[in-house]
Amino acid sequence: MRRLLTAISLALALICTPAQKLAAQQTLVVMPQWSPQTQFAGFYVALEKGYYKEAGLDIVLRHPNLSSTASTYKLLEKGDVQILGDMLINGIINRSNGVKLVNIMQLTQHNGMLAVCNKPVDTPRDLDGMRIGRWSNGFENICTLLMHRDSVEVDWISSVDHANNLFIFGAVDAVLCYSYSEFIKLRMSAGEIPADHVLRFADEGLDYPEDGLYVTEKFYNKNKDVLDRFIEATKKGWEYASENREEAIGITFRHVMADHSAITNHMTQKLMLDEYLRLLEKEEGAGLSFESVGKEEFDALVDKLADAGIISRKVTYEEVIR
Amino acid sequence: MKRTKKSFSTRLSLNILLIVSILFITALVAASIFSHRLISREAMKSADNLLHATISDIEKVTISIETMTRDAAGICYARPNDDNLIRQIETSVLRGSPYIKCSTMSFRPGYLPGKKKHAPMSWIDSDSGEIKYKNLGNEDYDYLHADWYQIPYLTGKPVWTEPYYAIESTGELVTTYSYPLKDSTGEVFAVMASDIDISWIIDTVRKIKPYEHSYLVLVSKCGQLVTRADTESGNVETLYSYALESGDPDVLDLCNDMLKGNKGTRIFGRHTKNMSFAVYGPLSNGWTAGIACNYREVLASNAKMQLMILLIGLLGLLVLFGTCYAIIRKLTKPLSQFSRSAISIAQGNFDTKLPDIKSDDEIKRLRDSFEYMETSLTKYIENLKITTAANERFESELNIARSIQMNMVPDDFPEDDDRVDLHALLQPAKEVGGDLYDFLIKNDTLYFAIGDVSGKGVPASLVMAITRAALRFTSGEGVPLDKVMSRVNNFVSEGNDTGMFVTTFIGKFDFNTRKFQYCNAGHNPIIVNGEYLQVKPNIAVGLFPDFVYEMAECILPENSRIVLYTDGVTEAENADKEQFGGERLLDWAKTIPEGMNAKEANADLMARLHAFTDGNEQNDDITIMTIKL
Repeated sequence: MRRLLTAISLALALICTPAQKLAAQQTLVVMPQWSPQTQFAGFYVALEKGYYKEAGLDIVLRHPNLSSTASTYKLLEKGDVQILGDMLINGIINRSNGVKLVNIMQLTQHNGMLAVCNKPVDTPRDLDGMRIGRWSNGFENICTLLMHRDSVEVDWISSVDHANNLFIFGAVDAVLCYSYSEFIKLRMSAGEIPADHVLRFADEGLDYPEDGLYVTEKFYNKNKDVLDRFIEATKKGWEYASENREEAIGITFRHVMADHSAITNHMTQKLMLDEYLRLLEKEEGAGLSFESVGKEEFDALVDKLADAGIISRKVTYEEVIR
Repeated sequence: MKRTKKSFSTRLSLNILLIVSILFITALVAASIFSHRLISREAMKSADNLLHATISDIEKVTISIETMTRDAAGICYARPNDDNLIRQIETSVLRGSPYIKCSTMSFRPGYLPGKKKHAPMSWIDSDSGEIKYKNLGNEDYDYLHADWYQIPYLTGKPVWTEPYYAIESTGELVTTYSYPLKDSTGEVFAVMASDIDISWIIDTVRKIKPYEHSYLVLVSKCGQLVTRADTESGNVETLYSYALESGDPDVLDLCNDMLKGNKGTRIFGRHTKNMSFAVYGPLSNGWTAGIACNYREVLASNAKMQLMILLIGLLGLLVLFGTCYAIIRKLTKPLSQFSRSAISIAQGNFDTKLPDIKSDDEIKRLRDSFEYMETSLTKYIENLKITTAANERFESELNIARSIQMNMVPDDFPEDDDRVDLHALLQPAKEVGGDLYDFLIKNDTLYFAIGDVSGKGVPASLVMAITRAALRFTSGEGVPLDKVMSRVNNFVSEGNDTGMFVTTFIGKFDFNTRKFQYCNAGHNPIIVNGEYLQVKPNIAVGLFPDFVYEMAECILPENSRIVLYTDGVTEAENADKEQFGGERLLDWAKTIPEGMNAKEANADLMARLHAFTDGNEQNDDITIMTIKL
């Protein structure tokens, strides 16, 4: 009898709790694209500094492992993950493939992909016939657009993680990198890379923004307020990381330590944060932007993806961008 | 602040100490630079030898593993389908080398009929020590994209991989030697791989310590610091990240050179406490190794030695100072005695005992000089005493003569006579002189005379006395002045073998008639009322006996002023040899104020003479006589 009364009391207490209080306890699982590094420093800072908590959010950051990077959208659709970090181009492809997702926040404002070659390279045509190392999980779609546009034929070589080692050992002629990540790791391994060995895709008419945050359309419609608070807290986290870079690196390292697969060093993370913050600025030196991609730019990218045969259905701006 | 006086011994000792100190410090600095370079060069050579010995030790093992793997691959090449054979070969490889922990023969998918992925693998279980076996191709593990398979597959060349944790076998940190097997078309169909536990390499390398804080780094082909992995903090440095963190351009150059697989020696951390050098060189497996040594540590023994030398040197300098001081003091001791002797001699003790000098050197010669000086001074003082006594006697006589001479000229000038204001003064250039003056008032008549004997001193004073006496004797009432002058001339000329003469002027003034009669015997013209009196000069007395003198006369107006003088006035010279001259005298005579009496006028002229000569020595007797009638 006493147990029954207690259960009834608890049920009544829950019913009487204000809606805001319920929302404050909401747990969101956020999955970035990759293992812990300063590419995600803004999230770690927002967590550590309690910005999410202040916004009434209980955020769980769940990094993917090598095998799960390919299936993150399934986790999103299943509801195991509420917010997924990915590139705009992948968001468009997955929406085109039927995943009901929407972009709730655009992080980087520019494209950081580049190709590092074993000889001087001037135009994309110089890549023709090369054996090029890439990721095993399709991060190279923007490169595919370039190859299609300039009719460049290459021999793609995938590696377990990334093809930097293949490049250093001479197993590939070139390797695809992101300026804030693999390119810095390559420098840390091989020393300084000659500037004329690097082809930056942003300079080749493909300066499409990359990292953004995605949720299912259904989740978005039910949790607009929660997501707004999440976005504001995330922005605050990034602003703090930008102003306090060494501290942000220290915070990131605690997450690196928690993820035993991550192997990195302070200098790599420092250079990564500097470069990533550069990409977060719309105009250099103008401060962090977080501006959504424009409709014209979005439609142009969709057209290119369709032309290249990467997507079969053209998605609309309104479908994806919130 | 009072400056402490240092003795000669102290000063000389300090000077010697200063010179020796400069030489000592110069020698110490030169030796320091030389030994610094020598030790640095030797340390570099030693580190280089140590590095290459270590590299050689590692390569002995890696080359044996390469050979064993290659040989095993060769056996498998003949029967790739025979898993039992492969297993036997892998087992023999594992047993053949204590360093190999895992052996894998991995095939290209589809090469073996009916097998997509096939990779028989044998490894030594770290717990039981038994050899275990499994087919890696059946696992989830994607060996096709693993470096140890993919790189030799793509390049067709054997390779030593980056260190990695062999999670599919031993779980240890390993590096793999992978050898590709090619078919008849040259295409790689399989890779034979041997994993070796690199802990022994790390242990070997970490023991290499030429100095306590020096270290040897082993860098993989992809820049991993194999020997400095700090996995505890999650911070795994690469060689280049370490270089960037250091912020030292020299370290950056050094690391870039190492990553290129070059061999060399470089200095880094310049101008800091941690200035170091590194020797480095590549290994045959594509890795590179380097030893870094801190100069402070390398040169520590040298610094200690230099400190010792410095301390010994300072001690030596102190001893040198003390020794020098004692020796110099001993050598210069007679000088102090000479100093006391000199003071005693200076006080008139010419028989002062001089120190005994036994040596035959400068001090002995100094003693001889002192002795000679004593003798000479004794003689000189005796002579001086005699001469001084004679001089004193002569001076006494001269003073008497002066007194007599000054008594010869009258000094009882008429003060209460309204008719005349007369005053004269005589200032000899020496104790006695050759100038004279005289006057007499008798029966309403004033007689006066002035004279200047040629030459000065005692001879002139004697002639002056004769002349003065002659004037007195030959003058008489009613005797005309030309006769008086003739008589005086004859008197003085008589027996005048020396040829001395006297310029003389005599005058006579009648108060009643104001008639002024005068006769000049070669004397300077007198000044009457501011003008030179035109008079026949005649010749000086004493030259030609019986010379006929001529006199003249005039009537003087009331308040006439007559100035008589000798050439001591006009020829008075200043330092520039300029004479006072007749012009200045005449100018003065013209401007004598009306109210100024004769005494004041004479004093005024003397004052002007003194101002003009400005202390220059008087070279002739000066006589001035001023008469106001």
